[in-house]
Amino acid sequence: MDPGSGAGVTKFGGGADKSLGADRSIAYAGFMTMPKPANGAAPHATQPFPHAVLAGHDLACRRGDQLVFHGLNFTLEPGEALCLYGPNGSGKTSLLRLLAGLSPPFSGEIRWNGEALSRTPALLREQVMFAGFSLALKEALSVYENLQFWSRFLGDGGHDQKALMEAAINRLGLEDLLAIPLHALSSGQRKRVSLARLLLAPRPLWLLDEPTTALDRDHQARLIDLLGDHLAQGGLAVLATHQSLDLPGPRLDLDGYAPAFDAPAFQSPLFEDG
Amino acid sequence: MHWFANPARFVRLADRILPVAMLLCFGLFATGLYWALILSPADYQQGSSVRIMYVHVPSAYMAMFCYLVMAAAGFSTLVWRHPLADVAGKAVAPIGLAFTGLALATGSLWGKPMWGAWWVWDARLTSVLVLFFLYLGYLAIWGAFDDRSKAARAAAILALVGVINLPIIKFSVDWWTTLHQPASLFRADGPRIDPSMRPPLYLMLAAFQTYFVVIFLWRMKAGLAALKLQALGAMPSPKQNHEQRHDQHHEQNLATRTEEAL
Amino acid sequence: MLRAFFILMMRDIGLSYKQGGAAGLVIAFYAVAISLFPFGVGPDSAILARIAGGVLWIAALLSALLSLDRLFQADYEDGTLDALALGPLPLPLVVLAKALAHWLAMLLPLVILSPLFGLMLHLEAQALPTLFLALLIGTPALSLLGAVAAGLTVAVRRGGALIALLVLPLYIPTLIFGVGAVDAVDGLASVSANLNFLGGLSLMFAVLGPLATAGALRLAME
Repeated sequence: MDPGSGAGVTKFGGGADKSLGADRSIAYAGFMTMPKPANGAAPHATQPFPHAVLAGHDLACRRGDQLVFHGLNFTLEPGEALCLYGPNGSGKTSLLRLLAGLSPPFSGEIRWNGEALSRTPALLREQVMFAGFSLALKEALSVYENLQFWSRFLGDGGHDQKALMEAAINRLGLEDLLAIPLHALSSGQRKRVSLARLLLAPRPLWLLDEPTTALDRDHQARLIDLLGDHLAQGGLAVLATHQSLDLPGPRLDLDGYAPAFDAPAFQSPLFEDG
Repeated sequence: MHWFANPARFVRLADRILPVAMLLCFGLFATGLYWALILSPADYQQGSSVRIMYVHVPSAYMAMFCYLVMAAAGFSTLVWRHPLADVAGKAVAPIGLAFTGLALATGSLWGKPMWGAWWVWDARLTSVLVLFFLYLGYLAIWGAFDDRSKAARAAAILALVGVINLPIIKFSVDWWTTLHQPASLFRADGPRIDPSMRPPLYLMLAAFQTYFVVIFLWRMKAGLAALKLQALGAMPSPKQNHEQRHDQHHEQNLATRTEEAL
Repeated sequence: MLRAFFILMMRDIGLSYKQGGAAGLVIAFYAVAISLFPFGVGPDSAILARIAGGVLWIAALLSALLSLDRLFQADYEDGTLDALALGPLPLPLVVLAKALAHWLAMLLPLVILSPLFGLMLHLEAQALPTLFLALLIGTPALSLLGAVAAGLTVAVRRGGALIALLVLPLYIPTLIFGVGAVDAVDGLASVSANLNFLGGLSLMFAVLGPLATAGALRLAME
């Protein structure tokens, strides 16, 4: 394995073969445009992402009139991935949406570097890459057109979008699929295209909902590898998953945060007496 | 505002207002109707059909008033996110729709002897018709969402868009009628009202207003009670599973708990 | 930010003309709907000329309505809306970009074709430029106001009929001033007053519409 990528991180899924190592050097050409690396220095030595900590304090989430989880606390340091476990309906996807700022928590607070998300709703808008269950891709467009749209839409002019795009295509092995319209792809191939979106703009926090579903063994390994590199650069990730992934960082079983059966459905101002 | 926004306090306040309002409403209707239908003079042209005015004008006024209340409730829903405002919006809309319907029906009845037709595209009648459609849309939004708080906010957005549009609609409809019916019987500034007809009209306006207060407070109380039952898990929300139903013990508690809460 | 706005707008226009896009259908609907009127009221040229302005405006209203239900729904269903909301563009500007794309792709072709249909309905030749201008100035309001209804119903199953109920009453002022401008050509009223009001409506909804729609989309995404 590439020695540089392992700095400070234990191990990323053992299955990466040699061709992946070769891919990586191309991938970094894109990532490294942010802090220009000293000539010839190993690209992995620098941390492109500024130090940022994601924390959840006493989070509770409501779906309809049902409390899904409550009392959730976690802290995620740069280079760590938070793996969310729990049965269906335990609120994994809901938590990811809370963290993306797409929906507000029922109670509690999400903090990014100590700053409260509820105070500045747009705080995480450009820090987050959210790969949800839906793929955010258009059936009528080809793989290339899909990626090109996101690349250009997300591009802020400060990065070499072309290199980022090339890296994304390489890392997920999409070279042969570029001209094919999305509706002609298998679900695993689609998933890879949607994951390629993560690499189109360098953003520190990745929120991934079931990222490994529909992927074959080889591409699962590639994804783990990709995640490892993201973390090694000081990135953060939160993953909802059913698989045991070998990533550094805390894990949370949301089943432990489900409300007790007899608990009041929610504490609404309606119950306050005065 | 926040003192008032406590539901328990609101219900207590409502309970204090309701008997007074009911009494007042009854008295106002009794005197107002007697004066309007029996004491007040008939119109020299329209005869007794002018008496429709005593129902029509207050209903039309209440139709507007209810929409404003609805928009105010919507504003508080969006700004303060308070369930009381959600309940208020849902409580007032059907009342407004009923008043609007009444205004349209009485307008049409009044139009037959006045204009010789059941319906005339008169500026004010047309505006009320558009208002009727706006109410329908508002209620349809409430019915379209499973999630109550989402429904409340969607309806609130629509109510605010509607209230901003109302003056524009009113103005454009006036513009349109002057363009198309320059010689309308029904002048833009409306028919003059004889002074002798004013007191009963004002009485009826007050009667309608107190009637609104009574119905609105009732609906608010009912809405709050339903909300509480749902929160306690007694009234199955559409998505609730069967196995999550309350047990016997819970059910017994519920009656006392709801009583306390109210 | 301006770049992202433009890119999103161009993508939406492109998608409207791709396979599965509705732009072609909307134009066809406009033509068919207009040609139904002579069958309904008879081919008498005086009657047709009298109602032509109204017919063209109502057909434009209904055509706009036809394409509104997919304005946000496709993006909502495939997760694109989530990703757009987390992009560099504030949500109201995302809405504005998509509403403008809707207007450029769906309604502008109708505006361009409208003098042709005006001729077919025996509208006087001198009224044709006014008709064109009124539609050009007024139809953006249809997209912008329609976006509000489309946003409110995006998470609602079978939202199409609901959109019609929500938005058609709000279209009335646009319809009145739009038809008023065409009718004013024969000299009874002021064309420019009507056009000014139309422009005012479009500008007002360009501000109000995206803000309200962004609120609606946010609650749909929760």
